[in-house]
Amino acid sequence: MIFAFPLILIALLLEASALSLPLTLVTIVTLSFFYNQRQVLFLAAFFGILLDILLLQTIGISAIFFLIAVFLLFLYKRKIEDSKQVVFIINLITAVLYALIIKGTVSFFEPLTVAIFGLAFFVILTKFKTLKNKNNNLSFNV
Amino acid sequence: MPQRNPTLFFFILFISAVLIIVVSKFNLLNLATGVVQNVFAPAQTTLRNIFVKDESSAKQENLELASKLVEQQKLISDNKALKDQFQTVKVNSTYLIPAKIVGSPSFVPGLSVPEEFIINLGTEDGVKAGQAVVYKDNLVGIIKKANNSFSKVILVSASSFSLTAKTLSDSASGVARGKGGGQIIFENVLLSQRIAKDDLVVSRGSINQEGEGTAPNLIIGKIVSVNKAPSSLFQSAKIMPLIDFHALSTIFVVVKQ
Repeated sequence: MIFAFPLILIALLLEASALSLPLTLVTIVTLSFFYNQRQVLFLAAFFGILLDILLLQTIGISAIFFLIAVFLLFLYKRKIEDSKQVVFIINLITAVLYALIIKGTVSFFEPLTVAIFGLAFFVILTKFKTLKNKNNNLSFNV
Repeated sequence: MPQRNPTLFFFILFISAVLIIVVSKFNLLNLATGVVQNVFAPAQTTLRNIFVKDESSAKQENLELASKLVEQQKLISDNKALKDQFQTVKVNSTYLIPAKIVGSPSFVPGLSVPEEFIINLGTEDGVKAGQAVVYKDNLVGIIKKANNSFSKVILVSASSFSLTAKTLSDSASGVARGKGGGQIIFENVLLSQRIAKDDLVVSRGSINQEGEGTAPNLIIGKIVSVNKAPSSLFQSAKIMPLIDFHALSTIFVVVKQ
């Protein structure tokens, strides 16, 4: 949570100030592969409401979308493996649905860009997690 | 069993979000949203400034010249119409409030053109939906939504924007409609009326009884091409705005005409 909170906050600020890409959604969806369900659900609701306030949208609409996306992801998480392809496809689908349902328009470029961003973010977090696990194992052996 | 708790947690959050939607519809969250927006506004402005380049001097000069051209044309028509002083070019500066752009949500720098701005003025500053937003005699857009401290501006090039307009030289009337991607179409112009490349298209004016709305003769853009087919009822033209929307950082809300 210490890492997740500032990461989503940066994504949120970027999305609310200068970029139209659904960075907050993709960051939350990608973090779902690393954190437990309760934590991610809380982050989804909190940052969804914050995003709506900053974008002057109907407050709560993004939170509902984020919550459903995260809930469905955790529901089927056991049946899918945490591979790069899966992360890419899930981010792509959620970004397309978000653009269609919340923003009302969808372009080819935006979902693809955020899906690539999500994939890169997933790779970095996986590397970080592996490194952390290695360090933990080493300290245990010592 | 371990699945039950997160599911319950999901439903609690889901119902809370639905309740928030309902409560916000009755404007009961205005104070809280105002506080949040004010807290995040400096960070949003700073981030936006990183992605936005300053307007070049040539562009500035171009805007000044276009402004002067409108003024000159107006003086000529004013002379012709003698005491007809209803159509004034300049928006009274006492009714202009400067607003900082804190966000442009539908925008990717270098790839797309902004369609909306979020500005740091709200109903507390006298801003209401429907008011015009200008920059140096150029129409930037219209206030779409306003809460206590912030407002959303829909830009003239946005796909949901439309406004009655006319050409400056021949007063050919039509509708200026945003097409997205920085483009505007001037349509529903009768074939009998003359429109030509490089003509300036200005607003026709739609001010209500309270003095709110769009003033006449605000520049929407310049005609770059004309589409005229003898078989059709109307002709249309493609307009290019004179303003570089993504280079703007301060704009002005016309609170009253």
